[in-house]
Amino acid sequence: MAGNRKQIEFAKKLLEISIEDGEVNPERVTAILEELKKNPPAKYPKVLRAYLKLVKKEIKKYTAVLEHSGAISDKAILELGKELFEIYGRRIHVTTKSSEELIAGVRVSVGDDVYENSIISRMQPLRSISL
Amino acid sequence: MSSVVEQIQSEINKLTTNTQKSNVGVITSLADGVAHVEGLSGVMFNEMVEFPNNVFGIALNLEEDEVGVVVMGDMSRLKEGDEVKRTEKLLSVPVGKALLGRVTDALGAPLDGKGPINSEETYAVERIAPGIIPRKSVDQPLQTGIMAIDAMIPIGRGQRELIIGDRATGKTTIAIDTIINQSNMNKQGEKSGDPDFRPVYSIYVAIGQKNSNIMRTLKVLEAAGAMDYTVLVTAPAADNPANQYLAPYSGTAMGEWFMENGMDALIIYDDLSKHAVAYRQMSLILKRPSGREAYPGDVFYLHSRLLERSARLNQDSGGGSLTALPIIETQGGDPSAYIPTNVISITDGQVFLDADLFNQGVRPAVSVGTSVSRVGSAAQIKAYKKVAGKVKLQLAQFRELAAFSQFESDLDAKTKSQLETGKRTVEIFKQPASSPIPVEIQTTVLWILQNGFLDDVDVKDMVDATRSIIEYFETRGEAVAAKILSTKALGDEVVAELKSASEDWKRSFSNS
Repeated sequence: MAGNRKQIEFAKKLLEISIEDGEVNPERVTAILEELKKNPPAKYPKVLRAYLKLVKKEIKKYTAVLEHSGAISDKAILELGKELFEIYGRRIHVTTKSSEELIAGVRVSVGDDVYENSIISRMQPLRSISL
Repeated sequence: MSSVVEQIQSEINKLTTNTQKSNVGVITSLADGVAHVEGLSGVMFNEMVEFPNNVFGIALNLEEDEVGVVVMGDMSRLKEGDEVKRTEKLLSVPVGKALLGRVTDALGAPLDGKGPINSEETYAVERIAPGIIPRKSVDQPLQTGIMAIDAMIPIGRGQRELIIGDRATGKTTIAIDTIINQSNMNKQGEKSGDPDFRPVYSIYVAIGQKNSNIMRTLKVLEAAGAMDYTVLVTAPAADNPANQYLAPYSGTAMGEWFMENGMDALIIYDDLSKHAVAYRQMSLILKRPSGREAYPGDVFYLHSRLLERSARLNQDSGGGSLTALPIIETQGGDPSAYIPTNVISITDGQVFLDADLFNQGVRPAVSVGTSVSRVGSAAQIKAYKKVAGKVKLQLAQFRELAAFSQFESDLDAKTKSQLETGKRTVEIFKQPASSPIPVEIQTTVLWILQNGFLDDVDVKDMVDATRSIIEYFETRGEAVAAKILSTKALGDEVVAELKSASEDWKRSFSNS
């Protein structure tokens, strides 16, 4: 880990210039990648891997994944976006994903935070007792 | 009317959701009892985190990109990519009297097959030590029942006294005997109905020991009937380093409950050398920078924050106490190694056990010259102080003179006499394991020695003579011993009775 410190620091600077209005700008990322290809830094693959990790992490911060079992209305998605704006103080993009393992209910993941109201989460305490 | 109620109820139902918020991360690597987790952005230092399959861990390394979590449980049930959840709780253990007589693991879970521990309270394992204001000076004795210690290195309630020595020099025996003595005194005190009597509850923390040794300790305590007042916290050698690291803190939390509720408790850490080794192992895996002997930089703080939690509280804070007897194992009798010097500097004195003395048959093998109690003498009862006051100096002088004893014919009469007295004193302090002597009997033995009743007894017969004195004052001379215990002083009347009883003993001993 210590050996990668310079590459991580460099990747962090790349991330900084990739961000516009609090979000990763795809055009800036493309420009950065082209520039890097022309003038590759030392340990180029490591820099790219660190950059990818940081970009993914940054995107995760303003992207909510709404997992649901059963149908979900557009209105509910819109409402969720508003709620999340209230909580995080920034625009959160909501993407949906069907997940039958929830049995019923929803799970919303934003960065490291998970909001869950599903049958499977309610059954979790019972599972812990039986273990 | 009911429709209005239903309407309000329905509005409340709409507001109440069962949404659970959690902060999660993902295991990125897993090795040697440590999981590196990406995510967990909100986790606190020392917070418990939950892995799948009911496995828990503690967040010990909070880095920019990841969290180092020490796993406390079966790691084989975890894999890379598993989700880790915050619990928002610091690690806690059950506390209270329900733990007495029980054997638990480092997390306070029962191991003795006696069912769940019905404790109503839990205490966080890591707690801040009492500050300056609630503390009080040590002024009450904690009798170990071991004459060599009670006479020369007295321990008070709330003191931290280190037991240090090489392997197999009797360190654990001293600790066990002290627990047994507390139990004997508790039983005696409860039987007497004295309202001022304060029992001492014991917590024995076994760190990195063999399971067979822990079992042996348990059997000894059970045989002596001491488990009624004792809690055994175990993190054996087979346990993971995280549990070995946590066990002393868990035991201390249990002891603090007694202290904070106005009671007295004794905690034994057996031993802190293994505790430091477990912490070193964890730190190296967590990639923390290592220092001297590969221990991490905060190894001093590891023990200082633990031992500072033992204290004597003033009356405003309940008047309770927690006495700590940490044990440290030295290598080749060298107390100047890293961990021993650290713990020596933290504690209020040390009982140094000498391997040479042990091999010569002097047991307990207390090295008088290098042992010290910085605060305990203030706690000795008056009667005992009177008879034991000069013993340490006499014995230390004897050890110096002993080197010359091979040239005995060249020595003057005074030196010869000092050597003779010293030899007798050494013999009198020999004491078998698991046989603590009550303080009033110890007082009589030392009084008899100081007053010349043993001057004509051969050195080789001294052990028998001591045993005979103890038996006498436990039976025929019981009344005198009881008077010493109740008055806690050697007044003229007590001395007269003691003299008469001693003469009676001497007659019976000479005839036998």
